[in-house]
Amino acid sequence: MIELYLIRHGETEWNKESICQGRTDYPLNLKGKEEASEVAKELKAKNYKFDLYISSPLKRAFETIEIIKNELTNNKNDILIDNSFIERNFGYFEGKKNKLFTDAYKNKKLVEYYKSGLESETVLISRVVKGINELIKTYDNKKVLIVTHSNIIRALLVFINANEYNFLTKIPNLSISYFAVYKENDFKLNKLYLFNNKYEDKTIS
Amino acid sequence: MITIYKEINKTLDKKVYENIDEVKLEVGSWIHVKDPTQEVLEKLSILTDIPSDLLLCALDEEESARIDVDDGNTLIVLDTPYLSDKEKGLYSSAPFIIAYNYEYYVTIERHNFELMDELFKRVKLIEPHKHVRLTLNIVYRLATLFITYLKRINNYTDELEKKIRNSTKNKEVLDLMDINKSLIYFSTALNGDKGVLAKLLKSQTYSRFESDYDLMEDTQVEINQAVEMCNILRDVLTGMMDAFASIINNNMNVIMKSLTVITIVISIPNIIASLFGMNLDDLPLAHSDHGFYIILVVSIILSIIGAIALILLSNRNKTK
Repeated sequence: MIELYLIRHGETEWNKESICQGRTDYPLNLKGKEEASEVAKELKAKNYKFDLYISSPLKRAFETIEIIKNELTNNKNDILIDNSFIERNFGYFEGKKNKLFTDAYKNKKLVEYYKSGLESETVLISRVVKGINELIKTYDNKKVLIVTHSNIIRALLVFINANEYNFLTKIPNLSISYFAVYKENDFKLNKLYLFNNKYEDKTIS
Repeated sequence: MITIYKEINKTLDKKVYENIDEVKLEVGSWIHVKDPTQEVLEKLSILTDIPSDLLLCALDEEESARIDVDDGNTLIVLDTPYLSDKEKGLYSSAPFIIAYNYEYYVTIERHNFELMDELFKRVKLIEPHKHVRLTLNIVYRLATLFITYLKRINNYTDELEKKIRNSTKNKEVLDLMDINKSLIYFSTALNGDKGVLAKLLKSQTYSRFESDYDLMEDTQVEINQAVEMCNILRDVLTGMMDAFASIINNNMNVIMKSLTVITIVISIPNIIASLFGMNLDDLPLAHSDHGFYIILVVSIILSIIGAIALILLSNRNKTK
């Protein structure tokens, strides 16, 4: 079994303005960095230790994981970069307001944007599940921390329980979702929003 | 007609729509479509993000049982039995389409299958977002449906058998042929479905939930039972048809025999008449006053003796 902790990256300028980032590579802003080190301290205070640190290739995720890792360990082990956990390709929507995307999602108009490079949900979920299946092959019985993006976490939630979660489930910056991976394709959600009780009421936005 | 099921707080919520444009979908729901047009299927493909070519194969009546997994989209075609002719009690099989991705589960039927009724009658709680369990449940109910139909066919053949013992009309043979036709459809369909189930159980997605292992085993047992029942019925029917063919042959022989006896008996006066019909001077009784009557009486007596002799002969053969 793998204990899997998925953390969403810290805040960026575009997050603040609620602009859809997708694969656009923006760094963290000051608030993002501060909050990341707060989370890192909280993890350290509660004595969390991880065997493996994995990051999405995008800057905002890598910066976040560097902050957390430096706090938790002195060990200079490399951070693994895994392309499976890169943010969803939003194609046309990148750089546009989030609302544009959520409206299109609610009205089932997303199909029209596939040509612009928008990744379909099915393809996204397959990619994330494949990535985790690869992990369990090589890193069984480890504690793994992955810093990634909101839609990757949502994809995993939808895969586990499509009845309760969808692609509008709220995943705030730096929220930690705690999963258990038993074997290939067999995942369980242990806790959404570890530490953060303040999100509890707003599971679906 | 489009029916949408979704589980809300451990109960199944059901919404029925006539028009695809009114449909509102939520992630995790199950969409059941009855007798769709190509347009409906294409719109459904946009709503659910399942590729349209997977859904469109529902329009093909001859689609055979198979599985197609591709990029998170799964297509399962099951050959399903249905009553095609109520008056004659004829059965046939047609495809039942299951297509799903991570978010939606779609089923499509073009005939009035009893499969859905059976499913809702027997399964306590259907959870549309648990695709593996739902699929297994559908296959399981499919197997029980086959068994129900096979039992009905079995009862019908029993009735026919009783009739055949008493009469030998063509109608019963034709009925038997119809049943045989239904069974051939069933047998082909069952073999296809069995293959699909075996492939499903082998796949990774289906072997991940230990809570479903019981259901998997039950499904396998049930479908094997259906296959076996179908084979037994077909064997019985083939035997019955063979027996029936020989009975008809036998009856034919009996008729031919009596016809031959009659021919022989009739040929005796024929020979005598033809001999005495020769235009010769020295023919016996040619100048007798009662010549014709004497010959007539003699030939009748000879015929009767011949008939009695033949009857005695055949009776002696029978007792032997």
